[in-house]
Amino acid sequence: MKVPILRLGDILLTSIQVELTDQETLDFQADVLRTAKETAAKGIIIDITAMTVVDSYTARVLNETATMAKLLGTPVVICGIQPAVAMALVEMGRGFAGVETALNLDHAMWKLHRLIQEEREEPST
Amino acid sequence: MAKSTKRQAGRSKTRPTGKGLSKSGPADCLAAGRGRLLKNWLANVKSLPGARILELVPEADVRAEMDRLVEVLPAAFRAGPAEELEAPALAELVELVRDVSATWAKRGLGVSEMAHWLFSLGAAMREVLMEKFSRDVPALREAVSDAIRLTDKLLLAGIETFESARDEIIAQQSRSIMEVSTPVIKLWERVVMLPLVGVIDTPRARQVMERLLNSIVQTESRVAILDVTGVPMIDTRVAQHLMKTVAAAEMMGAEVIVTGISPDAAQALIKLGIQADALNTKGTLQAGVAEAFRLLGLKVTET
Amino acid sequence: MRRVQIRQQADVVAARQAGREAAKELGFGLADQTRLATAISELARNVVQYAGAGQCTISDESDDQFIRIRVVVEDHGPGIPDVERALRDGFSTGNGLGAGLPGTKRLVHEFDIESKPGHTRVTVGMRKRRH
Repeated sequence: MKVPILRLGDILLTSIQVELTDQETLDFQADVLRTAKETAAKGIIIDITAMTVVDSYTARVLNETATMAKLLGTPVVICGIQPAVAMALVEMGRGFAGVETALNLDHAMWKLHRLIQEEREEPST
Repeated sequence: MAKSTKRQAGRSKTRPTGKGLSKSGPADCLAAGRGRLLKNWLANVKSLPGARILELVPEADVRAEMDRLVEVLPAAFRAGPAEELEAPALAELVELVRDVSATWAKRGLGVSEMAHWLFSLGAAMREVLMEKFSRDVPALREAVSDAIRLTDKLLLAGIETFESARDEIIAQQSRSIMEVSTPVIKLWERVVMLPLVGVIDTPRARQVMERLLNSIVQTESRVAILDVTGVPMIDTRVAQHLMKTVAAAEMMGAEVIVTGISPDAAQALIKLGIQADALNTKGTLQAGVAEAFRLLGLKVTET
Repeated sequence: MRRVQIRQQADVVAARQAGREAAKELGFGLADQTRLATAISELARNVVQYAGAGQCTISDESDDQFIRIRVVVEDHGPGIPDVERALRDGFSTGNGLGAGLPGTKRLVHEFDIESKPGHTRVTVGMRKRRH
């Protein structure tokens, strides 16, 4: 199952709508990074509203994806984390540390534009 | 002394006859005297000083329950009052007592009322049996002792049910208290506030977390204010729950402002090794609201 | 009672979905459904990773006081050499994947583990007082 990655102007929007296996999660990571590089995207939004379970492995891969993209100069905002998912992750002692998160797509757009601006102002980081 | 020896002698003498005598005697007597039994029992219940049964439960209901009980009583008596509480022969009777007991517990009656009610049944049984066996003292003694044993068993079942019904009521009440003591207030467009009041234990902490997170989604709030002024004590355990709630809300993308932290709470948080900058705190709710507006880029002006 | 064989990654997803379904049917709320599904996901992944194959059994253990769901995840792999150590926070085997057992334990109301070479059995459960 391939997760579609949409181009929206100079940002990438991807929404995980199905339950992914570990391998599919890794494929998704590679896909996002490659597309970001190829399209020279200025930012990425990963929408996980439809994910009803985010276990520690998935959280870790998503975390890494965000960090890796940032290294490529493309900030990432993860949005739509469900309350129950957030609770389970916190109780396990896991989370999205150091990743920008947003409540919904609207909020994610707003945060991403702020991040892109920061990226522009400090090209060295 | 002399009296007791006499009684003992009497008992040993009657044993053989007692054994030969069928239990159907007293049981049939109770069945035949059903009307009198009910009447006596009701009279006994009414004569109890300070009895609230008839104040809290409609008399017709009490009467109907007692009537049912009196109906199945002889069969249980015949099968044997010596049986265990779980014995099938007693099942119907015990079930009735349990039902009544559970209903009464819900209506706010006390265990002692339940006990008086069953003692009254014992007394009524004794009265009916005495009339019938007034000439046969050994048979009377045996019948009465059976009646007492049966009443004791019913009492046990009644108390047991009563207690678990009470536990259930208490659990239910604490659930509803939990509901009302955790309101979520939409303070402004995209700002929710959760004033925490009362003691926070683990189930409540989980519930608070759930309510806050769900309300953030429902109201599309970007800022949540958690006011802990009303929490009497914040120890390290509560502080831990607080931090988890903040972490979960922030994970979803909301900003959390904690207001009303007392010096004790501050100590508990430091003991957990929490860095001061990990939490956006404000001393008062007012300052918290101002901070929420600042985060949303809103300004309050006087006109 | 439901049973899911765990042989490959896709079975991890199937096992946690089965757990969530069962919890939902028994009337558990969304938060508890998610906690249980997440716990199963962690345990089933361990099976695929360390034992290769195993199974997940979900059963309804309710009584007249509590609604209770129990999930047993077991395998015939090498086993966990030091269970006590594996239950301590900050400990994880191999390449450090997963939240480990302590994180999983915190998600559920009941947790039990037995492990010896050739058989590991982790039991997790959720309970809810009847109204």
